[in-house]
Amino acid sequence: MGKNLKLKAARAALDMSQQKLAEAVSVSRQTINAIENGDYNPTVNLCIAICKALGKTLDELFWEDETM
Amino acid sequence: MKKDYLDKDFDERQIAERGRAFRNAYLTMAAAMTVMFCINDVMEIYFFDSSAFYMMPTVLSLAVFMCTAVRKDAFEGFSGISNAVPAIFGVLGLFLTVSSIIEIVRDRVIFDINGHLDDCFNHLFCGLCYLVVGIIYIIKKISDKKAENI
Repeated sequence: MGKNLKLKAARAALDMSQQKLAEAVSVSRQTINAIENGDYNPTVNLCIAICKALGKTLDELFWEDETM
Repeated sequence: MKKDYLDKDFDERQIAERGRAFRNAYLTMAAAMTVMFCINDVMEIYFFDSSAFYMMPTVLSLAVFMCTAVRKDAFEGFSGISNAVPAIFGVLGLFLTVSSIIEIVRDRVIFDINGHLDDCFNHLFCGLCYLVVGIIYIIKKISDKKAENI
């Protein structure tokens, strides 16, 4: 599983730290870090919560690149 | 995801990691007791007395659970409330380890009158297990502090 750079970029665009995003979606900072590094596959509910917190859609953050 | 009252402070990843940690601890305890049973009763070496038979696998499995959970950031919940139990274990482990080594060196006793390993070796084993937990907790805390600054 590769890194989720789209999530990291979306978070950085809002100048939001991992800790802030984690608090917004009620998970630990390490879980956000694991998702960004591709070490953990979140559930759909968590994906939706992250999308709402970052103002993005599921496709924009979690869909695989066409080149893969 | 529905959570029961024991999991209310852990996110989904932490619950999964804690499940793996519990599995590893259970398998460790089963393996340790099997090895000790083989040594004591099958090979009839009678190395361990009854207290060691129950204490050592229990403490070892507890250490495996705590080390695994701490390493995977699943020992403390996501609420940010610090749980200093591993640090307390580390201090206790240091005390047990040092006192056991002193006792072993001073008394020069390896086996008791029944031919079993002396109690000080049980204490040394437990102390080392607790000490490892404390060390891993401290290392994890230091690395987390550095990572939070990213």
